[in-house]
Amino acid sequence: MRTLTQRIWQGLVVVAFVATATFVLVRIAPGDPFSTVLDDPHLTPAIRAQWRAAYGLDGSLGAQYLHWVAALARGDLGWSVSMNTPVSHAIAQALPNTLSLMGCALVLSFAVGMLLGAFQAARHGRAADHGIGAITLLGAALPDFWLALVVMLTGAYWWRIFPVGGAADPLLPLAASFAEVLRDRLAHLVLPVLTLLILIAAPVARQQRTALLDHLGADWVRTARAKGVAPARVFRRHAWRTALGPVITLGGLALPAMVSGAVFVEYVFAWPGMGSLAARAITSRDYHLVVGCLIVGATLVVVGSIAADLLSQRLDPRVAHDGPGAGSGPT
Amino acid sequence: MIPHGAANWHLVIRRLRADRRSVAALAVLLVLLAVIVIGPMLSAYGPREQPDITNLAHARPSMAHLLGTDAYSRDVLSRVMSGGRVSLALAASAVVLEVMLGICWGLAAGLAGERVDAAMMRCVDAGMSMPRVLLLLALLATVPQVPLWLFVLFLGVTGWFGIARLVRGEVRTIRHAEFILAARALGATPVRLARRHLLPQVIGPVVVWATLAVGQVIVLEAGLSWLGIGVQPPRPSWGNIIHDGTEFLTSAPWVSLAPGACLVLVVLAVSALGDGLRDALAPGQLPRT
Amino acid sequence: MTAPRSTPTDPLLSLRDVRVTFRTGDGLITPVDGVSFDIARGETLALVGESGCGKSLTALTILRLIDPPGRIEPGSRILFEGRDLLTLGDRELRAVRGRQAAMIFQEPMTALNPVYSAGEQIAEVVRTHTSGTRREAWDRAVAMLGAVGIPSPEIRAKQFPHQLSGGMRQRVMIAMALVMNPTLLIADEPTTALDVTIQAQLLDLLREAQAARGASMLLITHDLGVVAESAQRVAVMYAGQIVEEAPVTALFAAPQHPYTQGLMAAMPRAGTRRERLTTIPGTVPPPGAWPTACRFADRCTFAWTRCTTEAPPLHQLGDGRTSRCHLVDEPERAATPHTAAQGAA
Repeated sequence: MRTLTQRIWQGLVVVAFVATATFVLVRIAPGDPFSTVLDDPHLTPAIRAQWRAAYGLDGSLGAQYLHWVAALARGDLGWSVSMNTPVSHAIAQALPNTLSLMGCALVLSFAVGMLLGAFQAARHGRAADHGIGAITLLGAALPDFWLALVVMLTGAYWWRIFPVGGAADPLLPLAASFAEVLRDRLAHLVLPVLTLLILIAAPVARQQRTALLDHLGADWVRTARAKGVAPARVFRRHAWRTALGPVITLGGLALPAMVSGAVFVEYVFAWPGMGSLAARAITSRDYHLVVGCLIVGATLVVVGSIAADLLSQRLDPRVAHDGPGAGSGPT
Repeated sequence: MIPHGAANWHLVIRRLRADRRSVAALAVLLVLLAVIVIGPMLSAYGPREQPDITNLAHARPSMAHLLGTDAYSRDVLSRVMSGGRVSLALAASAVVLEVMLGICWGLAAGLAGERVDAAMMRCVDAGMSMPRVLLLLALLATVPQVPLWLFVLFLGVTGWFGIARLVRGEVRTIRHAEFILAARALGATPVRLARRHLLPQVIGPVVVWATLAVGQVIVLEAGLSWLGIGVQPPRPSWGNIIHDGTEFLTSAPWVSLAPGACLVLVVLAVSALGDGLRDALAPGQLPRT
Repeated sequence: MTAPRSTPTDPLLSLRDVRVTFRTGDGLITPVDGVSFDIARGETLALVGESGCGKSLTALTILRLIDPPGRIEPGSRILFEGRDLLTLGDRELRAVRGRQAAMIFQEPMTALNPVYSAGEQIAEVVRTHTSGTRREAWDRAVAMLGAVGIPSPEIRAKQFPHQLSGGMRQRVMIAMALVMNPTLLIADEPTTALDVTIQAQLLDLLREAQAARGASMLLITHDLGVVAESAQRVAVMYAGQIVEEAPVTALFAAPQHPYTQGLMAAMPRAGTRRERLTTIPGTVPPPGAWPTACRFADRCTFAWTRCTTEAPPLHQLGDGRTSRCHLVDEPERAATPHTAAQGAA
């Protein structure tokens, strides 16, 4: 039985791996954090050496690793040179925006995607199935940054319905009512969420359709029909319900890709989240900020996939018994 | 849901030919490939030529310049064609690297003992948990001006986890199959086992995965080049051409739209082909008697 | 004209010339080709044959569980309680399924829905066909589980299929089939996937349940031992057709059709000393590759020219026996069997 504690342990191991991998990355980076900041000719090598010692950058590799891990555990992700603030601070400000954007997008995308996929499976082989199938194929193939550009062009320039970017209107008077603030926030949310919706709902719909069609041929579906159960109920209870677990599990596995996609979407819409933070960081070569985003991003993914696992365990008792992946097909 | 089991390739090709969608996708890809490979040789302009930077910048599409010109009066069509060469070659190389890495890791883990396998799969889990774009951003940040080969290396090194898991899963499944046990009883070494017995079983799903991966990597490369950290100008790639046109999206949309459309077309075709391959490898259900 | 009401002496189930076709990539195949038999009230008919002969499909056809690309051909008739099931509308058909006629499937692990508990799945049958409360349906389900010999049924009812052993899962299936007291049970190889000891218990269970309700049973199996245990009459199927039908004791005493004889001879029997098991040479042909004329000719020890040119009809032999073989017309040919090497001319 995969208990919660087991999954958390595994998640921690994964995060540890990620931290180690990023430590190696940091080592590969030419120069050290202080070569850019302290490019001041007034700073003697002695002072640099002092700084290095203070940051534990002069010890052996092993000692540095431990130093790094200790810093991580404290939540110290280094200093961001482009934003002139600790990395953890920059990320802490940006993270809630990413979470709100992704949260909305995920919930909506899964709902829409699963409905579409189920609809397709119910109308298998007919015109509606093929039509929606073509749309989802297109949606799943669209490059994220390009779609974001197109959506922005359409929604903000040509039709001028929605704001061009950002999360809030900076010019909104401080005395604006809660409703106005809410409306403003929502208006800013629409276009990026729409973009993510298209990007995520399409593959979800395709997976749902495939999973359902697979499960429609399952032996227990035949048993249900042999019992005289009405077709709609057979579809719902015996096909759709059993396909739910695998779809959620697959959704959990796709989380990294969704976070990746969000990077570009946030950047295009200037959404002040972690993704655009990372994208901007790299254009200014703010190395520690990028690495910080990577670690936080990976942790988010781990947490998300634990949540997805738990959810699919509740939905599909087989998963709890055999482990994820075992319940992916009827036979 | 990728099927497993050794594929009978004659049957697969026959089924593929019968699938209209796959045939159309393949046709589109071949035409595109032809245009990209032959086009630059026939084109009147080179991709870096700047005939008349003052008057011809951002010229609308016309008979002289089928897709217009960009900010530096470079012919967009020839840029897109040359960019296509770069983008596709990059993607293909990266995927080849991914597949090689993934097969090696997957085979090793699949054939190894429990603990080694578990450890190797933890690494794969960790790799899969990292959002690929963020990982690439971190890698690309280590080097100021990324040479092409290093870019390919980075792309490949960040994308082999999925295929490793796939291959390992297949190997573990058929490891206890009777024909494998028979081969081992006859004294086959692990390498021989891998080459003659395991690889043929695994090739099918690998081909499907690789096809779909090409689409993913093309988009990834385009996105990173668009951000400015991938293929460096003036060498064209679809991503950085779109970047050039992004500022002028409202005034000269053809600069971005052309490579964008090509991108979408290629990914669509590759996805459809991958789907078709997957269906061709999985036989339909026959009635049980 | 109203459908004829069945009387107590009419057969409960009557299949007439049932034909099922499948459209495959290689053309049209007919895995069930003109099958006819009757089952009387309270009787158990065993349908025997090797895999690939069409017996499972025949069972599925009765409740119209054949899906495209399969098709039940017009001209087939399936009379149940006097009504032709093939002409019923969807609603009426669903009223029959699970209530008047119920199926028991072969693989209980996949035939049961993995995400619902055993009790829920049995209760589902009750709630489909009656209008009671959930509580009532649940209680009935638990009672049924007890009736099929599952200890602590209240606890087991809440468990999921993967938590139960193979034998228990099959008992759950049997409970699901019996809970509405059907008059016809269709059991498709109910014990094939289980241990021999469990097999015996479950067959006893089925027999008792059947007897208690006066129900009839169509028992699909490839195991002649099961046939001997449980059936009153037997129909032997080969390549989509019935080749012999007889009461059980008569069949075992004197099988008429060469295929049946071969099956009997191939059964390992305790008490006989033999060095090799007798086998029927050759293999069962797949549905697309059936020989013309007699389908068993190429494996038959008695076959002669007539067998490869003329398809034998199903001869009525009296005493409820039939045989689809030319030997009925020319019994003297039985004296000249040939070896497998010679084959039919």
